[in-house]
Amino acid sequence: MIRTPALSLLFFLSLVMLSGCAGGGKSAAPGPAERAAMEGALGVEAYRRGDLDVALWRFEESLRIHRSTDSRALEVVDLLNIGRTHTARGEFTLAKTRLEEAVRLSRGLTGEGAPQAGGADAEKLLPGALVSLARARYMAGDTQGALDNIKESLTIVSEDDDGGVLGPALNLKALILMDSGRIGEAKEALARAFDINSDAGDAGEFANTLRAASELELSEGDLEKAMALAARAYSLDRTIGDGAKIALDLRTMAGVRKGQGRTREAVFLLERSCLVSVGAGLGSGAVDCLDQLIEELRGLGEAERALYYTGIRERLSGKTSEEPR
Amino acid sequence: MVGLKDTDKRFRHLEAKVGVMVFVALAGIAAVLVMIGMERDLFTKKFAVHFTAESGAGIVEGMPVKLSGFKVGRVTDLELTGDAKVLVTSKINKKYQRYLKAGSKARLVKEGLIGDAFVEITVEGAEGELIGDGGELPFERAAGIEELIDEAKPVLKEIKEVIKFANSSEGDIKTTLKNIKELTGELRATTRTFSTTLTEARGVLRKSGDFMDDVSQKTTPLIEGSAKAIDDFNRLAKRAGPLMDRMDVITLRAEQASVRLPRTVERFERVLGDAAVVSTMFAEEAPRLRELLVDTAYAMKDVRAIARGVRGSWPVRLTMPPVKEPALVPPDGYFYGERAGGGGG
Repeated sequence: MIRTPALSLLFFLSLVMLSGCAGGGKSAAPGPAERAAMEGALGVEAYRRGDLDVALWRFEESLRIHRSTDSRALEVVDLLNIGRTHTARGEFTLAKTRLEEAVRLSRGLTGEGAPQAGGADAEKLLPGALVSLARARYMAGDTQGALDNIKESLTIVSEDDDGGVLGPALNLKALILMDSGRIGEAKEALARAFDINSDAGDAGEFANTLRAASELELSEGDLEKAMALAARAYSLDRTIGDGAKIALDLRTMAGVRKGQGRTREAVFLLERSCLVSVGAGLGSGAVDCLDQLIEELRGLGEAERALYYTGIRERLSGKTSEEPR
Repeated sequence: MVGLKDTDKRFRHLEAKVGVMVFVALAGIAAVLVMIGMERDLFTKKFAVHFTAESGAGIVEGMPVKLSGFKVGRVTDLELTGDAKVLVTSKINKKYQRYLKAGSKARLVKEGLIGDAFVEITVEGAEGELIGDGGELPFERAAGIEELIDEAKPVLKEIKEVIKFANSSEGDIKTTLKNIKELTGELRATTRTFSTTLTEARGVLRKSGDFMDDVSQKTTPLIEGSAKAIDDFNRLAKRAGPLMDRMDVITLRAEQASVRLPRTVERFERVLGDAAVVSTMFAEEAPRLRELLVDTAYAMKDVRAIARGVRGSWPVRLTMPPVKEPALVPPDGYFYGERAGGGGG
């Protein structure tokens, strides 16, 4: 047999290369689909860490690739991701355009023989697209359009297998109804959202439900209950580590404390909210929070601290890369 | 005459009625007479007292005689004596005789200056025997207005002369009065000026007071602020010490840099010149660079293909994580920022 180590090594490597080439020939051609999937995955990763510019770029690249291969279901996925990223950046008009495109495309995907979205049922993309479109529409000022989209998504999706859409849809519906003064209907939607989100195991969405319920209690004057709900949402968001939501929870709690007349505590919570917003790179959200904090500090006569935060605010205002969620 | 009968009851006891009427009338007359008499002291016992006056002027019969202002008698008679004096006889009520003793005097007085005259008997210093009926009293006439006028005449004359003197424009009094008048006028003007000045001074004082209060109010916080500023300055000065040292070093380095600056500029100009040369060379080499880039792209493509092959081959394929299904950004069920209804964070 082979006596020298060098010859043994050479023999082994040749074997590997031969088997690899053979094996590589039999595998599916990775090509554009793989690249697009990779781009999409990296985009979601960037979105999660708050790097929305990179996320958008990755999703656009994935969309380009999928369009070049007429992968419509995957195109819907990319359009959804792009629309949601634009919404997170506060670009509601752009988000609306992309999400309307996603809805239009996903309507054509329903029915037998519809292409698959990488294994997921393409039919489930339509309710998700409608919910995201409703969100962008409402932030753009189209309340009725938003409610119509949510209503349609609720009629399509089933409670047994909603694809993670029912919970957010009900949360958004409750918030829109609350803002419109339809408190009774908002309470119904929230109650249903409570049941679904607590069972779904989605801590983030459940925290959204708790926060919305806290806002409702605050508007009705039950401050104790509002505080309890907001504190529960806060602890859930802390386990997830979502800075934007943690900042929102702190601000909600600050609002409750102010309503209770505990001004110093309220200012402390607001201060924490602003620091979390700044740390999470929330851009104009952090600036709004700081504006409110500076006003409260001046009201308490704490001019030095107000000046300190004014400096931070001015530095943040100069930045354009950070955008609100 | 036959007509009225004596039997008429109106005529019954006629004489008696007439008699009664006459009696009552006579009684009345008697009463009147008695009252007059009593008034005139006709029924009182009297004794006569005489005195001799130089002149009977002012003395008349019936003139009352008073003692201590109390009427005690009356002058009853006046007659001239042999030496052309007037002997006046007065009748005094007997009951007052005990007051008239030797040394009493009689005098003619008037009630007031122009009132009725009466004879007054003064008993001051009178002691000794009582003056009996027909006794003599010394007489003196009290000074009336006529005497006063007589006495006043020379005084009036003197007054007239004094007035004349006083009224003389060349006289001392007029001149003095004129001077006093001028002085008074000047004094009044001075007083007015003084009052005005005093009022102005009060106003100035008040304004000064207000000003001082205002200054005090404003300066107190300034002083306190200054004290604080001084403390802050001291603290800053302490911190500035090391800063100043650093400033010295920075200044020194800046000076050194400024010395080197011309050389640096020179070098920069040389670099710019070199860059121009490089860009010219680059422009000349551009076609060759393009070819180089294309070759590099092809080479990278081959490298990627090799990498794909390796990735897909066994056992590398088994160790690499599978490519995930297209991931979706989660559909967040909340709004961030200001909502249309005013809610949100």
